[in-house]
Amino acid sequence: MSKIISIHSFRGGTGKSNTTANITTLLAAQGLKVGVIDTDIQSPGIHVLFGLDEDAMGHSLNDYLWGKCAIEECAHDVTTTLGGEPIKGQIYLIPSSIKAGEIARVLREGYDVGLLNDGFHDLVENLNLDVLMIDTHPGLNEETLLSIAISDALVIILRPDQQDYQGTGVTVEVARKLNVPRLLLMVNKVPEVFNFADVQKRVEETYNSEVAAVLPHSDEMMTLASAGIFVLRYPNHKVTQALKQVATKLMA
Amino acid sequence: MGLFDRLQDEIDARGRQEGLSPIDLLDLPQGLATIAKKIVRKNGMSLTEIAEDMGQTPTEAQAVLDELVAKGLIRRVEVNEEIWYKAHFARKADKKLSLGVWSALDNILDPERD
Repeated sequence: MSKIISIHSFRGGTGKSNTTANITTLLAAQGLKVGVIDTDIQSPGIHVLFGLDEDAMGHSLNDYLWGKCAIEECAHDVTTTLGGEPIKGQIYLIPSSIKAGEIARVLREGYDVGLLNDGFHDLVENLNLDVLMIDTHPGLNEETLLSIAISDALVIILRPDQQDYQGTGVTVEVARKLNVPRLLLMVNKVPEVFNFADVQKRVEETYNSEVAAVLPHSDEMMTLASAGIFVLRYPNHKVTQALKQVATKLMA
Repeated sequence: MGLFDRLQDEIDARGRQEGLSPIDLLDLPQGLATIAKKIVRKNGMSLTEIAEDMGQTPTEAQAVLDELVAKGLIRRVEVNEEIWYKAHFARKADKKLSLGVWSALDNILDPERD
């Protein structure tokens, strides 16, 4: 049975898109057919991680929301473009447009939320996906609420930061109100000097929710700077191992 | 008060609205929220499924659903010759900026220039 998984955080800069892209790749490496959709229409970016150039983008989610095409026509097969070990499964990326005029148009005109909802489900059915990963805009907004409302699992990412801690409380409360079947937290960019077991315990106790993994701050991740998929470049890195842990828990 | 009666009260208290917003899922009254969230999560449910879920007869469930349709929160669709109920989402509102700002942005962001 197909799964819809949303990756979210209350604040920006927590690592949502990187986490989404890397978990997508890990799941595809297991042989799964994975779709990944960028619903951050205001500030799209995950296409950069998958190496999809603006000129090669063709149709985007924006085109679908404007009724120009079917959602499947926005799905770009990026499986073989990522480098590293060949991936057994498949990755279909549904990007949002990075063109300033098109972003402004969506902001100005709005869009049919029902169409976005139908699009999620049509992708799963028409592409026969095992998993649909939804990369979200930070904070609470209509796209985020919709994606949480339809997701089988939600990963909330936070950094060990007071603003993130407070915001995560809000998001956890919303997720519980929307009856998300599975809620996982992921603490990201944790300084190596912290006691990771302590961090995990405190976060689990604070939010009464399972922590899927605690990821260390990584100079390699910062240096890579979204120029590619981390787990393919650094398959033996401890961040990769932690992301594998998250992927395993999501599919359990 | 049974679920059916409570739902009737919640529906009666609610005016007609031009579709459901995802934000509504957070502040609808409990009974309406339960149905709405399930319908949204499954992207549509048949009358039989909804009746079973609500623990009501199809006739009772139909009455509730007809009122929800009348209130603009859900809509009827035909799926394989069966009537299903789906969320009737409102269009996401456009950003309310003055016309002058959009006009200025258009001049800068002319798609033909990109």
